[in-house]
Amino acid sequence: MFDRVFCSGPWLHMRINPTGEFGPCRWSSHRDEQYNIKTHSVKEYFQKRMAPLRRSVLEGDRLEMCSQCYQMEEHDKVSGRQRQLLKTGIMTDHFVPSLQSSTFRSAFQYSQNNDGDTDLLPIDWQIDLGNYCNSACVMCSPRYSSKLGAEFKKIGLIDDTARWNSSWSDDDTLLEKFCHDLASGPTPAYLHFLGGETLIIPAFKKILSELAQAKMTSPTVGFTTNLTVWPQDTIDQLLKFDRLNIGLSIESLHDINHYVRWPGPQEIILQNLEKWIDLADRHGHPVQLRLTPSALTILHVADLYQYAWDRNIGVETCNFITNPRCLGLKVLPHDLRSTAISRLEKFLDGKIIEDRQIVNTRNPSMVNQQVIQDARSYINFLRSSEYDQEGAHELVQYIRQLERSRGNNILDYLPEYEKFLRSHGY
Amino acid sequence: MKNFLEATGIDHKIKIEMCLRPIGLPWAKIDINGTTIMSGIMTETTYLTHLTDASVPLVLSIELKHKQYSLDHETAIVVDRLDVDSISIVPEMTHRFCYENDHSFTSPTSYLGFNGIWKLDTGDCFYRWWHRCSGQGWLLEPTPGFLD
Repeated sequence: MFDRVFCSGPWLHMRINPTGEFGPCRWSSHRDEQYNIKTHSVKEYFQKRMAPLRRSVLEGDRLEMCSQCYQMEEHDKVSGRQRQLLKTGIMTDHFVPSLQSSTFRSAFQYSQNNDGDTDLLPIDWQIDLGNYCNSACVMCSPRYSSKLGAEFKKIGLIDDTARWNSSWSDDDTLLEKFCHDLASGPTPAYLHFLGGETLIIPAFKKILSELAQAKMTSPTVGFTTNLTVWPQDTIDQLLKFDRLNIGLSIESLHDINHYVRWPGPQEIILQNLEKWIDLADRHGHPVQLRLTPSALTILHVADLYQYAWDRNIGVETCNFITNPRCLGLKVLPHDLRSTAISRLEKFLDGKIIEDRQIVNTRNPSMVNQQVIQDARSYINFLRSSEYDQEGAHELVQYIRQLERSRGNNILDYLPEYEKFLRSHGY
Repeated sequence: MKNFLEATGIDHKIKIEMCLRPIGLPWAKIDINGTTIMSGIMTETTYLTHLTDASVPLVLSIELKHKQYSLDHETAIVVDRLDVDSISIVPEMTHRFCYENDHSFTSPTSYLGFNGIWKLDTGDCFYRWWHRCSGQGWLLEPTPGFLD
């Protein structure tokens, strides 16, 4: 059905990946290796290269690159597709009439009549600045963490880090070109920055400074931080913008956060968490906890949902993790899933649950329901997803390699995993 | 509905449903987008359904007329429910109605006890209006590019 696959993202959004390749969507890992900021213009990519994608979307094709969104919706998790539709006035529960009333209807029609072409430019950006990072989170990859890349090389998981470490934003000429493009196109509505650790990447501050100098402070600036640093000068730059979407990466209040977001010092992370929430509150900016629930953290995420509920702040979890496969929730056996489900249910216990799905997860009056909705999606997934035995074997091999390098032991953090991990060779 | 052409080819009308309860014997006139769907004395709880064009602003009004305050001070029309495409507008959005009456009563209400007109004008097609006033976040507008 068309209403299950149509997305307005290709008419308003694009992404630049850490090494400069363009991509059509922040929720998809798809990137165009041949189309890079070094070789092509934003206009060329968005208007022409993305035309076949727009054509497929208008035809109602079910696309492999969109599988993450389809999976999220299967488990009642709000998908990127639903969020992008809503930005153009399309509600999935009133699809046909809201599509017909959409502010982008004429833009869709233009592409329908012109083989997918558009005369628009992106106004919603995902800007991956590069992989420079001070953390080596177990679920990350060298593409997004230089520290993890160095460790992978040391323990023989990859041969070389050079291809990941060549961040486009290190090149002043490219950075200037990008800032110029931003300033000379339509004013973006949203600029979401990602690292690495965004707050320590020099280009982040440079772009903010360029935009502020050009008096272009109306776009909402979103970013995600790993909470390990508090760079006051960059924060001062951020506060020049009218609106921020502050994303705070954390997996649990339990010590497992230290194991997973290695080697993030838990005490500093918790201090900075409070500081960001306080800053957001004082300046009236929305703040969200950004979680990547994985096989190693799902037992201890309920405490963060409770924390968010108590503080009236949102939770935005990423896609159901599939890469690395071994950290996906599917590797968990029945007994651990049951424990995770019962802890999440305990969090939900006694709370009023509305049936209506909340797609605008930043609506401050719906924050608590949004937190409930997100927690429920994990219960749904844990209940219905099939068991991945091969992934479980891979998990043991993977963490043993990392632990040899890090000198730690998962059972110090998760003693309840002993039977499971031992049965797969730990 | 397989694709964009089919989805936009559907002749969708928005469906307005309301439940009106009379107190006493009010004289009521109900208009939706220029069509009068009821005019006269309301004697019993009335359920009305009306289909109208989705692509134009929704203008809906309920008028109470001919009330003589000295004789029938208990006369009123109570809007118990008003839904558009199953989206609850009354009671959820009662504050969006404008109430012009001969007692200068302006507080949000769905109890229409004065001679006057209680009116909703969405100013934009219904779904855009609904998006804005129900906290759905950004409603972006396409802006042609000018990067050259």
